[in-house]
Amino acid sequence: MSAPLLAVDDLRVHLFTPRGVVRAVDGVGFSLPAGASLGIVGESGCGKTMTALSLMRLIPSPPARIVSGRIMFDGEDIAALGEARLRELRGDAIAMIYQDPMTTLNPVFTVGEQIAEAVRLHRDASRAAALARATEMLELVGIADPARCARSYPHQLSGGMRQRAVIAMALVCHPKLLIADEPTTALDVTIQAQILDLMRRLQGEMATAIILITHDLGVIADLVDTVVVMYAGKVVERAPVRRLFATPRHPYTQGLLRSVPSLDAREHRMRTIEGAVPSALAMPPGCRFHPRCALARDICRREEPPVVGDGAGGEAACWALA
Amino acid sequence: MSDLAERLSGDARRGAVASYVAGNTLATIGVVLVAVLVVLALAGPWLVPHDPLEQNFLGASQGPSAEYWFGSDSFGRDVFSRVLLGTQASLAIGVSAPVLAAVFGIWAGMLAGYFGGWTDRLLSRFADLLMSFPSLLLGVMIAAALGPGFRTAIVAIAIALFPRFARLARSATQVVRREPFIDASIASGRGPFAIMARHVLPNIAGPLIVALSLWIATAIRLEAALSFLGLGTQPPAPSWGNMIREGMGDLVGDPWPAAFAGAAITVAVLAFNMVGDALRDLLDPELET
Repeated sequence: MSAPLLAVDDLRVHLFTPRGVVRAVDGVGFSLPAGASLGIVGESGCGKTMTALSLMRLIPSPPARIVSGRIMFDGEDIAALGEARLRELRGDAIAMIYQDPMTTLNPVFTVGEQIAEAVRLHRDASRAAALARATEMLELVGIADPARCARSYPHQLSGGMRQRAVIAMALVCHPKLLIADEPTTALDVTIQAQILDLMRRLQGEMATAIILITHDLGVIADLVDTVVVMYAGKVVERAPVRRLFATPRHPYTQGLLRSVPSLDAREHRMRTIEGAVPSALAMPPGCRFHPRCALARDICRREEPPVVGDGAGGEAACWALA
Repeated sequence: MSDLAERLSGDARRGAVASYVAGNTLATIGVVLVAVLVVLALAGPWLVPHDPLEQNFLGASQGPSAEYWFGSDSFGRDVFSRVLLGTQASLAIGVSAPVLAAVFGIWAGMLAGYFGGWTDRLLSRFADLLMSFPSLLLGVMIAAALGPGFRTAIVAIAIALFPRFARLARSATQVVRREPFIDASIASGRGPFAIMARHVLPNIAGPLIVALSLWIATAIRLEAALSFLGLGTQPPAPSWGNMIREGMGDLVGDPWPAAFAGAAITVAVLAFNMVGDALRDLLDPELET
């Protein structure tokens, strides 16, 4: 087996705030083969967005800093690259889609100009050629009248159209890796499904690897091969998507899956995970999930749990599995 | 922000500006006055009925007449011709100084607002330092240091206005900096300076254009003040400020040169303020100054 497209190893991103050091990402590791897809799930503040931003070195610095770890992408360690090389990679080999399509587009330029911008930046293309490429790309993301859309300003388009345009902008240079941070959260449910369909189709057509960051397990189930579940800056479970949904092993993953509302459930109360995510400045010792965990034992309160493999490509960090 | 975009974008924008100006009396008057001032400044040398430097001691200190529309000054020079030619000095300095201040101030403000941290602290403290002097005092100090003259007046006024542009650009940039399209642009591989020029500047242009037109009025006042103090346009070349200064000698016996020069300053300042107000209504409804 050849080297994966992306291999993250023991990534630690700390935020140096006046009130103390926040270990936002604390020893995260995963890998992603070319053309594959990975989902990162977790509650707000679990470090999933920080992880994603680190992959392109877009973390707000200061206060954030990558304190250790390697991010091997296509033979280069992104954690150690210079700014000039990073700029070459950004938007070309690695692209990003943000949460809110309403504000990801600059209101004073037409959609076509903004998509063309990335082409002109990374490919030696003329203005006209770049615009033509942008129009092609808009057609590829399923916009009915791409030439007209290219001439439109963002405020003239609907939310779904804008997110399609944002996706076109991200994919216009054929990136090897696309990072999507909550790409459908700001959209209507019907549009969400269309956008997910579109991303799945484009992933197939363009052989782009995708990392999807979300708190929505439904979105994950639809689109990715492997899921990484994060809690309080750590990976608690990593598993192929079907295995994760069929037999979640970590108590936190089990809780997350139970909290997905279901129509045919007998009970009327929605299930939740008791308690709240611990304060980033005062992490509990031992397993970070133990204050909310029904299976917590003495050892969970004292020592960090071991990572236990399941023999089928997955692993979970929990004393109950040891 | 999107409101501004709607106002600036699409084919409708030229029509919208025209209909707004036509529907607003003050805006119309302001635009017409500014246009007249610009024409007078450009064509002044060909329009003057008399040589503004020509002295006539027999006809000195006269009131307005058919020969001398605005009267004559103590050297017997035609006040109308001098006021007319003074437009040139006032507008040349009044426009070029704020533009110069805008070029440097906007970039300084964008750098401070975009990078934050030490860049911001350094640039902001420098701007605060300049702001801590009243503009006129600062202008006088700089003019005194550089020696009086046309260029000095421009530099002095530009330095006095620089921190105002820097502050305005900085705060506007801080708002735009948080917009996701800036992050998206970084993520697509743009460098910071390209982002500032392409994504920040067009989004903060509205309030800055408004400020520019209002500060042109300020600059015209400052130019008159500096010339009045003998630090701007040098006699015998006419400017509104030095005409008032010369007229001060005999304000009771022959008030006409000072009165008409003063009126010219008032009209010019009023005209640019009216245009500025109209631009503010048009471009930046939220800004309250």
